[in-house]
Amino acid sequence: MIKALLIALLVPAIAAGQAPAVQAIIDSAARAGLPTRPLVEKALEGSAKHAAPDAIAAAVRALAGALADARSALGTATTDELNAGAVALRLGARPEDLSRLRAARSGGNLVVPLGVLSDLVARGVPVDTATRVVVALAANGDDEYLAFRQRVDRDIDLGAAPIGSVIGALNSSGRSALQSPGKKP
Amino acid sequence: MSESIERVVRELKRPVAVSPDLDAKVMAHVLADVRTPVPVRRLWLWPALAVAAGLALLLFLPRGKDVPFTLVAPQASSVSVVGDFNDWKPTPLVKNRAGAWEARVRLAPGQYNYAFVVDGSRWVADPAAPRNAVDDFGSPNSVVTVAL
Amino acid sequence: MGIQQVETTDGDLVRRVLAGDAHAYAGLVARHRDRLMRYARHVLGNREDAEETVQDAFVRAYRSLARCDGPENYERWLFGILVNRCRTRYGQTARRSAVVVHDDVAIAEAEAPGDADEATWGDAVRWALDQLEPLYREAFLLKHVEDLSYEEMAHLTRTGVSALKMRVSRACERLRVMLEEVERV
Repeated sequence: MIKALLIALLVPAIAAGQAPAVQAIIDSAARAGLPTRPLVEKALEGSAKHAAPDAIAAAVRALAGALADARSALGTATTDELNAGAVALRLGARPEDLSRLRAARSGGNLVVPLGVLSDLVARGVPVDTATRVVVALAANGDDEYLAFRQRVDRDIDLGAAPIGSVIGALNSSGRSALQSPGKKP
Repeated sequence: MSESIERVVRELKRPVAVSPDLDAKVMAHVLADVRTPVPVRRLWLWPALAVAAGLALLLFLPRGKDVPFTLVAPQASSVSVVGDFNDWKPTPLVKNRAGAWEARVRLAPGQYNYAFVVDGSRWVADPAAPRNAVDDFGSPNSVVTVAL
Repeated sequence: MGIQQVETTDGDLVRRVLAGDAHAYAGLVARHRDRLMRYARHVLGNREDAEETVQDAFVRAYRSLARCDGPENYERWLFGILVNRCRTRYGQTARRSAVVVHDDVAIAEAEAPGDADEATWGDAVRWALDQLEPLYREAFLLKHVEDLSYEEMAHLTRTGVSALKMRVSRACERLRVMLEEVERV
C-alpha cells in the first residue's frame, strides 16, 4: 500500500487517476516478484515526455513482459541485470541467447555485456551478430568488453559499416565470431 | 612506374569539378547540430586525463562514480539532464566559457536511460553516448552503464 | 620589420571548432574538398555519389572531431573517414550495376573546348579505372594519386603491406594493358 502510494506520488498520470492501467501493471509485476523500479521509471519517462496515458501503459506493459522473460532466461538476477536483459530482448535478442550468456559467464555480472549488446544493436549491428559477439567474449572481464566497444565505436566513426567494424574489432582481439563462446584461439 | 602509368597518374591528379554548393550543404548540417564536439584540448595536453575521458565517453565507469554529462550548445539558454537516476526531473547543467553545458551526477552501478532538455522543451539524446534503440515515446534516450 | 603573413593551419581551425566556433569548420571544408572530391569521384565513378559521400565524410568528421588523433592530423584522419565511406558507398551502389561511368559532367569535361586528344585520353583513363576491381582501384589511387606510403595505406585500409603492393602492381598492369588496347583502336 505504501509502495503504491509512493508510485502514485512519483507518477503524475497515476496520481491524476488517468492511468489506472499503469498502476495495475506495476502491482501485478510486484506480485510476480519482478522489480518495479524500472517500470516506475518508464512511467516517469513517459510522463516527463507528456506521452498519452495509453502510450505510457503500453510502454510499461511491454517492459514488464520483457522483464519477466529476462528473469526466465537469466534465472537469479539483479534488478540491473533484468533491466539490461529486458532491453536486449526488446531489441530482438532471444531468451536462449541470454541463457547462453549467463551460462558462459556464470557468477559474473551481466550488466556490461548486455549493455554492450544493446549498444551494438543501437549502432546498427544485426542483433544475431551482436549476440554472438557478446557471448564469444563472455569468458573475459568487463575490461575486454570496454576495449571491444571502443574499437567498434572508433571504426564506425571512421565510416566503416557496423557489421564490418564488429568483425574487425573481433579480429583485433584475436577472435572469430564463429568461435565457440569463451574459447581463445 | 612505366610511362603509360605516369600519364594515367597525371590525368587522375587533375582537379575534378566540385559543386559550388558543396560547402554550403556541409555547413548546413554542421550548423544545424545543436551539439558540437566536446573540446578536447585538455585531453591532448594531459594524456592521463584523456584516458579517463575516453572511458567516460564510453560511459562505462567504475563503481559509484561522478558521471559527467556534457552538451555543447552555445546558443541555448538552459540545458538540463533527465533520466532514470533523477526520476526524470531536470538536473540543470552549467555553461562553461567554451559554450559547453556540464553537470556531474553521482551514479551507483547500473544502467540508466537519460536525455538532455534544451531550453525547457527540446529533447536531445546525447550524441556522444550510446543510444537506446528502444524508443517508447518518440524521442530517443541515451544510455549510461556504470560498471560494478 | 615587414608584415608577416601567418598561415592558419588545420590545427588552428580544428581548435576553434572544438572551442565552439562551428563556422570555422567552413575553412576546413574549403581547404580539403578538392582532394576529397577527386578521390571519391575516381573511386565511385560518378559525381552524385562522390558529392554525397564527401559531404557525409565532412559531417561525420565534424561530429566526431573530439576523437581526432590530434588537431594537426585532421587531414589524414578526414581522408581515412572518406576512404571508409567510399568503401561502404561502393558496396551499396555496386548492385545498381549501371553505375554511370561517363555522367553528364564527365561528358561535358570531355567535350570541353581544348585539346581533343587529352579529352579522349581522360575518358579512356576513367573507363579503364572503372574496369578495375574496387580494391585494386582503391590501392592504385591511394598509392599513385594520393601519394600515400604503403604503411599509411595499411593503416587506413587495415590490409597488409604485401597485399597492397600486389594490388597496386596488378592495377598498374591491368591499366597498362587496357590503355594500350584503347590506343591501338
